[in-house]
Amino acid sequence: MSAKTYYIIGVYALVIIVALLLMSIFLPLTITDIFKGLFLTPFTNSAMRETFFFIFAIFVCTSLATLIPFRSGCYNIGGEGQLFIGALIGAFASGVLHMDAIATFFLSAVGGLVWALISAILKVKLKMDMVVTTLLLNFVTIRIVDYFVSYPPLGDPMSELEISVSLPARIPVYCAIGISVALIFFSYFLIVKSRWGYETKLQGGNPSAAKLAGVNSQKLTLGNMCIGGAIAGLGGGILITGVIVALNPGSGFLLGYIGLLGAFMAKLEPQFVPFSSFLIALFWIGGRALHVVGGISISLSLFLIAVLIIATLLTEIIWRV
Amino acid sequence: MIGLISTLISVAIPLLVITIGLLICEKAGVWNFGAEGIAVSTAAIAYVVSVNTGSISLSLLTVILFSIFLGLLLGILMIHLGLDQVVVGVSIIIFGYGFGEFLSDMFAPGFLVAPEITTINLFLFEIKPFILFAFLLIPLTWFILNKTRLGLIIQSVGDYPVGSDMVGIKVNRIRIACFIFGTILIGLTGFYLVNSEYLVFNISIVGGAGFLAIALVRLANWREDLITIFALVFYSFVYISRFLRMWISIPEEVIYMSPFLLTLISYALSLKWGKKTREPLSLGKAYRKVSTS
Repeated sequence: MSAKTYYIIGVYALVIIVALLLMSIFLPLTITDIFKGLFLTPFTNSAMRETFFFIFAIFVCTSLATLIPFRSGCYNIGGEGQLFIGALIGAFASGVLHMDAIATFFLSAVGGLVWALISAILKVKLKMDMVVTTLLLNFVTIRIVDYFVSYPPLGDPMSELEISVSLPARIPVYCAIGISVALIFFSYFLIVKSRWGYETKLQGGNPSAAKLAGVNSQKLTLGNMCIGGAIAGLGGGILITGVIVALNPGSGFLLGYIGLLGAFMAKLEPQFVPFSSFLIALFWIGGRALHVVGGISISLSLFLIAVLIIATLLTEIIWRV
Repeated sequence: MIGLISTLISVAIPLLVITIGLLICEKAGVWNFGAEGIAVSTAAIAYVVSVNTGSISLSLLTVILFSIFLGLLLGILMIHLGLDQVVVGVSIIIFGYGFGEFLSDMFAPGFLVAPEITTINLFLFEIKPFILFAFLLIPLTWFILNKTRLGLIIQSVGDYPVGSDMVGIKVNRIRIACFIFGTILIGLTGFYLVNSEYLVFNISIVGGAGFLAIALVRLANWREDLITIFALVFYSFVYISRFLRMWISIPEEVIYMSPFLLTLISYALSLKWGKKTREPLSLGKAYRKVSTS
């Protein structure tokens, strides 16, 4: 095993230990209850197990959506917006046009792709800072979703809440897992084994050398952003066909941003994404399980993710030293 | 009309102060993309402390200490150890939301109202102290950055860290100090939002001002005067739109989207037709001292 693999295993082990220690100090639960709630309930409870794997698949999508453009030096922080646009377009396809799950997924991916393309074009044509454009577009997206779920045909006229009509297209959990596995293989071959991936790595590592070697940086920026956007859009498709039955703006909150954490924890290597996504999904669902089991605030999930971030950043110090 | 202007100012002030905090960090060559997360987490701390103790001074002190701690931690990670500044920034956004919501749920559950800072009477006007502070901060920042030796040092480490190091300036120490100061300003915004503006906490309390600020610094071409104008103009759109709703139908979502969309479009146009950029030349690049032996 390489040093990177040892490092990643060390990070994950340390993160779990830190999270358990912190929770045993601050929460009114025994360490056994915390362990059960965090690591066993998400798998023993059938509803939670299903949600866990759907969320895992979404984290795989958002992590890869960040990772692929990142390798070419493009900071795609817009995973959140691309996921929401994918979910919105998919919700239209499913809830208004009554399309099946395959068509819904296709349109979700197209939605995410188009949304990512806006940032990519602004970067290529105007040299706009991609972090700024993707961050601003995230907020624009949330308002667009707010608007469409508030009014017909997508908004539910009977509900006082901002929520869409019921979405009929559903997928079984093994489909979501299948999609995520296929995406990991696709990303691995694209990034690690193909010429495209080699040029991407060259551009991300040394843009001047890439230019001298004749690498078309504009093509790579546009291509990687489109691939990343489409994958995030697919994550939106999984959200509306697997996790929730109607789109509401709060349902996918932060899933896109957390994808960056997943990519970072995987050290920007696609083959490590399933492990980082698994751990993040475990904390995400485990926090909710502790809410059910121990009556702890549901925001524990977000706090656990926060612990995950700090632990990951701190272990980075060890890696650097 | 005075009421409208005063409402506009009190709403635009958080954006203004966050933007100035970011400007100071960026002038020294450090990105601070986590402004939204920093402001959310300090707002949660201000809320929990002020609701539980009833003391605004203690709330202020805790916010400042937490901001110093966060600024130092992030500064060491990004400046000293050279971690990717965008990754750390986005991590702090997620941390802010998670930490903020958990803290308020655990230690201040329910609908509790935080104590409010009393206004001060100035030239027959009742004014919030933080607004006064913000308006003093603008000329002070301009003066320090453009007319003092300290400002020259800050800009030199942001532009030419190698040259600055060669003349004996401790580049990374200056950068960390600027980053901590910027983080304190951003942190104070969270305090203001809780103890002066809304008196309650929720994780959307900052309303994206941390993200908008990142764009505003670029749109204003790293100029303090333009930052002030843009911060007021972009938020005024929200109010003008609300005013127009009396006659024409504008969906609320479009109104709230407008500052973000407008900033994006203006930023694109400024790059297409704008003048030479004043972006610090070493912005976002960690500096490692080169051995001369």
